[in-house]
Amino acid sequence: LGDRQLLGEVEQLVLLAILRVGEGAYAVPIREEIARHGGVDLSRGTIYVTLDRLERKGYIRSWQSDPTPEPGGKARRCFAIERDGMAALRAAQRMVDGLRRGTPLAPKGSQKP
Amino acid sequence: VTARWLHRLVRLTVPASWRDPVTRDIEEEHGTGAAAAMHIVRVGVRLRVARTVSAASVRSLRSASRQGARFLMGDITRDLLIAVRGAFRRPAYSIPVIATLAIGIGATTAIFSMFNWVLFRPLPGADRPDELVTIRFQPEARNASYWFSYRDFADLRDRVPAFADAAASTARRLDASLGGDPERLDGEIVTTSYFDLFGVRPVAGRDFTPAEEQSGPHAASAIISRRFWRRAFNGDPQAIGRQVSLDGRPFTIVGVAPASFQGRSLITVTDVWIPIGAMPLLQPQIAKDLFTSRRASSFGDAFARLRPGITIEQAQAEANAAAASVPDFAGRSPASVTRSRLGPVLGAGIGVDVFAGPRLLNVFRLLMGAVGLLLLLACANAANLLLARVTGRRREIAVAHAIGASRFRIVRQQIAEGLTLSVAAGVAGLALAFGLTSLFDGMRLTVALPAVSGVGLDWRVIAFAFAASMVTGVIFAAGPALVGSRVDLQSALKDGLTTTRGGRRVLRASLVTVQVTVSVILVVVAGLFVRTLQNIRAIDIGMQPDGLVSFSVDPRRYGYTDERARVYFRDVLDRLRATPGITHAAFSWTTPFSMNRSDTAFLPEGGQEIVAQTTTVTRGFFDTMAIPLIAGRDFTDAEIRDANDTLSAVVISERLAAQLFPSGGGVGATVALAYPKGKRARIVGIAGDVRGRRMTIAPDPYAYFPDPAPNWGTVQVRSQMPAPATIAAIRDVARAVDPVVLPGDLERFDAAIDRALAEQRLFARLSALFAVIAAVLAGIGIYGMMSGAVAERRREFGIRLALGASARSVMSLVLRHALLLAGIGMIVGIAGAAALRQLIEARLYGVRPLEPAIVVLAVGALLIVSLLACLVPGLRATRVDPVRSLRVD
Repeated sequence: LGDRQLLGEVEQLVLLAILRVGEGAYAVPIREEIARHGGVDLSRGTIYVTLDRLERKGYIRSWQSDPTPEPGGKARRCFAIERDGMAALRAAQRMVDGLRRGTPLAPKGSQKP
Repeated sequence: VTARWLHRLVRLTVPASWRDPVTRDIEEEHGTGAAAAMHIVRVGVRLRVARTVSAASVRSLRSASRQGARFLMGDITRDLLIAVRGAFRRPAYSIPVIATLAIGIGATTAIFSMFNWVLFRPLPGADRPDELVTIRFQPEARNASYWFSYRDFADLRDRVPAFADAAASTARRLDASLGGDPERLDGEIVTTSYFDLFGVRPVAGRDFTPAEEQSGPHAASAIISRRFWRRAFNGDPQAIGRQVSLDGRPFTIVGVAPASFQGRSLITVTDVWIPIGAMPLLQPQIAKDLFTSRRASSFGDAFARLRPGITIEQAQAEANAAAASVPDFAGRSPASVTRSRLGPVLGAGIGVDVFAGPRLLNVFRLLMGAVGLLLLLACANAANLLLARVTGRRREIAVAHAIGASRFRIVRQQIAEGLTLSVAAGVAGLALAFGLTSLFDGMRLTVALPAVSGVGLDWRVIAFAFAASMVTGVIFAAGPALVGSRVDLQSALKDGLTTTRGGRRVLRASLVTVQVTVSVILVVVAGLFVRTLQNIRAIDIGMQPDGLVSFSVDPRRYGYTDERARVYFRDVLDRLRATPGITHAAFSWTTPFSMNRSDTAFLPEGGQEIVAQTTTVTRGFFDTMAIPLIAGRDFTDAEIRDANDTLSAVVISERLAAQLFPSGGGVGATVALAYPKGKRARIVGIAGDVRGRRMTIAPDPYAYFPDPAPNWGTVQVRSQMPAPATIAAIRDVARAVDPVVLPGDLERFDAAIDRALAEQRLFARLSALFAVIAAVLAGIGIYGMMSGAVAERRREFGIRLALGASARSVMSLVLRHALLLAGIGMIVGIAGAAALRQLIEARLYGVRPLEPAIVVLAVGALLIVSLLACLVPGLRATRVDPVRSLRVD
């Protein structure tokens, strides 16, 4: 793996949130999902910048949907994960899992208080 | 309009692909206010920075920090920096461009700022002014407004749930005295919710209480402005509770309004407010049915505050429903046909004046159109200068091309240069506008409004100047940039000759043509407006205003009975007539130039009812006004005394005589009146026609009845003294008769005529100013173009002169070139002026929209300007030294 495929932490959060929200994911529910289940309140700008970057990397694709019903109405920009994105996300999870194995952070019995 | 522009600018910070989604997401959460704008800008900047950083490769980020910083700044910043540096380096080029554009932007901004001041700015001192609406009382089909009766206002206030609050107010000048000489103040009579509605709290004392909305002596309280408080009481808190005499009646000062609040008008500054409950004290005879009758007592203008989140459309629908639910709303009854279709119409904001607003908006559009043309001309001029520079930089551009700069890149750099210059011009223009606004002091924008003063700049004006300079920058730079970037590499790099290629030459010529076109239009329009003003001034209004001074007075306001008022007028007139220098003095209830109007219907035997404007007068009126009596005579004392009998004497105007007696004659005849029933009038004289305030329309038929006992109205005084001496003499007489009663509207009769011409004067002055600026700019443009052309053709002229051409023939070559372009511009300009006729025709008087004399004048003026502008370049062409010009390369 070259370093270009490495996913940042926020990128992973955003990709996971897109998966969770599913059909019609856009910036607002993605941010809410990360806040609700990740427990971290990312700034609006961070979400947009990350979505913008993920799309440039080809990990997600976007389309415009349901414009507001008025002349020149504003559309939403919705996102879905591309195959490359899934692969990158899995690779990132695998890397973390691989490194965690045998550390005090490893899951199962070793994590007892 | 500016808000929309700002919104657009805000959105532009977001990269295009994100613009709509980001705006929508944020607006769904934060609405469309300032907070949302901040969020949008923040996200937009982050996205742009992130993209710039990622566009810069990792390598560049690791390299020297300077280079990294440059990447962060982005290409556009770099373009701008280069442009600013360029502007500083070449002042000989940038200063004329900035100056030209600053004149255009400055003039446009000045006009905008004037109208911003009287039309668009929010009401000073009002809390959350965006929720305020003006309720106009308007007939369905016509663009007119009426005053609200108190009952109609109260019904709307109580029955429209969308209104959080509502208030009504009427402007009234009040004579205030603290024991000494009275002083006339601008006052308002208001409902007690008035200050609450505007969110204004008194800085001392208290607000009005709801009890003061009931009529009675307890309502004799007043809130004074901070300005008056400082002037009259030196800001002493003890002023609260003091008595002030208003129109001769005692009022208690209960509060002081904050300095920021000047009342409900953008122009008039109110100094004293009294509650509506006190109105019957001031005007017992007029206000007795104020609170009961819908039809008899129109009170004033109404304003409301919408509940948060309510749109003006919702409120309008509720107001319509409320009006429909009251059976006799607006005095609606089977008998009153004329007012049956009056309805409430809501308008956003608190304007300058319920009545004058729409008319003023019209004036605003026309003037902005004219000044916009001027700005266009300035753009053409600046574009020409820019084009000359682009030509000079052909080599530089060619080199940039050669080392791989795209055409887009070059165009962008030049537009950045244009924007830099136009923003500098915008700043200079704003300063110029600030200077120009002081010229507006004392100018009247339209008849019914007081003169403007103290026009100031606010963020709206600054935003306007900024938007104007951005648009200007793109307009003036785009053409030259596109043409200039098309470079033939080989020839540009190889030959050092500064020859101009076709595209550029055509653009340059058409820019000059545009300038001449716009100038011709502006000069023709200015000529038409100036001529109109002259024509109206020259109208014989049927009387002699020179030497005439008039004033109005209403002794009943000071508690006079009708009988005492009659004695008052007799005393005043007797004393005036006895004053040395005063030749005539007479009473008339109104004059054709006053706002007061009344009419009488005559019933000629076997004919149709004929309606005439009417006033009552005392003897000597016709001599005082210098209205000629064409037949018959003035009233006799006996006729004046008996005017209230069933048969009254009357003097009628020529036009009325022609209508009543088509076959001539009339003096001595008796005509029945439609009302009072059974009353008849015997015609004793026929007077010349007199025109009224709208001087351009034919004089109304007029009837003058004798007044045996005037109780309020105007007094006309003819004198051989200069007007100020006459005015002082009138003041002395009035003070001697009763110092409490103040003569109002004491001024030269001319002043009323001047006021009637306010709009015409405004148009004549401003259009003349625009025309002069336009002609000068066009002259500079032609000079610039011809200088460039002569410089380019040096070699050609050198060869011609070497081959024996005379200086004259070379000169004529230059002139022919310039005059051809100017000629095309003139023809297009005349066509343009013709196309504008519909816009201005209604404002013209005595001239046709394409008056030949004025068109000839405009063409002549521009011809002279063009010739003067060519003179120096032409002379330069004749003095080309053939040897040097050929050796140059």
